[in-house]
Amino acid sequence: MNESRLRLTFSPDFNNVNLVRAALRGICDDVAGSTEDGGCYPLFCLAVVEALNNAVEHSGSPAISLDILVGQEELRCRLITTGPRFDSTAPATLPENSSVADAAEGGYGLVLMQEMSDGLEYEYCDGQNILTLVKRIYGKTRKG
Amino acid sequence: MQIKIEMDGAIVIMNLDGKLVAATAEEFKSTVTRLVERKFTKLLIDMKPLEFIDSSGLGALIAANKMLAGAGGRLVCSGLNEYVGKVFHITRADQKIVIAPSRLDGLGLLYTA
Repeated sequence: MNESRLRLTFSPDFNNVNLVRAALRGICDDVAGSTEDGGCYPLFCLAVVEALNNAVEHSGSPAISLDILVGQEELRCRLITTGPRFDSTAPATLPENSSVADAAEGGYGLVLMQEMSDGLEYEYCDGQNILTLVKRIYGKTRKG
Repeated sequence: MQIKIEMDGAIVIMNLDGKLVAATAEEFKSTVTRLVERKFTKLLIDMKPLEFIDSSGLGALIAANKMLAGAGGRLVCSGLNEYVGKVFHITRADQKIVIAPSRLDGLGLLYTA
């Protein structure tokens, strides 16, 4: 299998999420440029950012790793944290519709994460939470 | 993220340039809080230069909307690009926050508010 892999490891800080997003965006732009459809890569970047934000805020993990794997047919982002089981793949729903005065200011991240990726996989192994977000690549026209 | 403030009569125009995300959401909310405390109640957020928004940024916009409404004022967002528009649509934020296609349209809505 012809697949390129990059691992980023960082401390749980929202400023670091920004840096990771920029790196991922660069990779996505490179992948999008080599496909026929251009793809919905900015939205997939948002899905990954939401997963990273969730990990920073809730996982309690002292470090977060993101493996970015670029294959011929898929772009996979594998988010790894340590700590208790933390599965965010259960179908999420939006906060209940309400008036402007009562509108929820949170609870949108998981929905965005699930809507903006083509697939989500979760496993818990050896004390590690491994969440994989998948973006299918259509019509790859050149190698690399 | 850079926040640039302009005035058009009684209307505050806030230009958001960069990324409204978890790392910058509090700065944005603090800016809106200061404006409301100083009795500015008509706010146009020009999102044309905005590159990226996440759910924290969206939550901050919703909070700002609530602050203005609570003060008897109004908030309008303008210049949403396709990506930001999609985020608003999926989260149904477009049902809670008034959106104008352009800065001019947004100002028009606030003049008549």
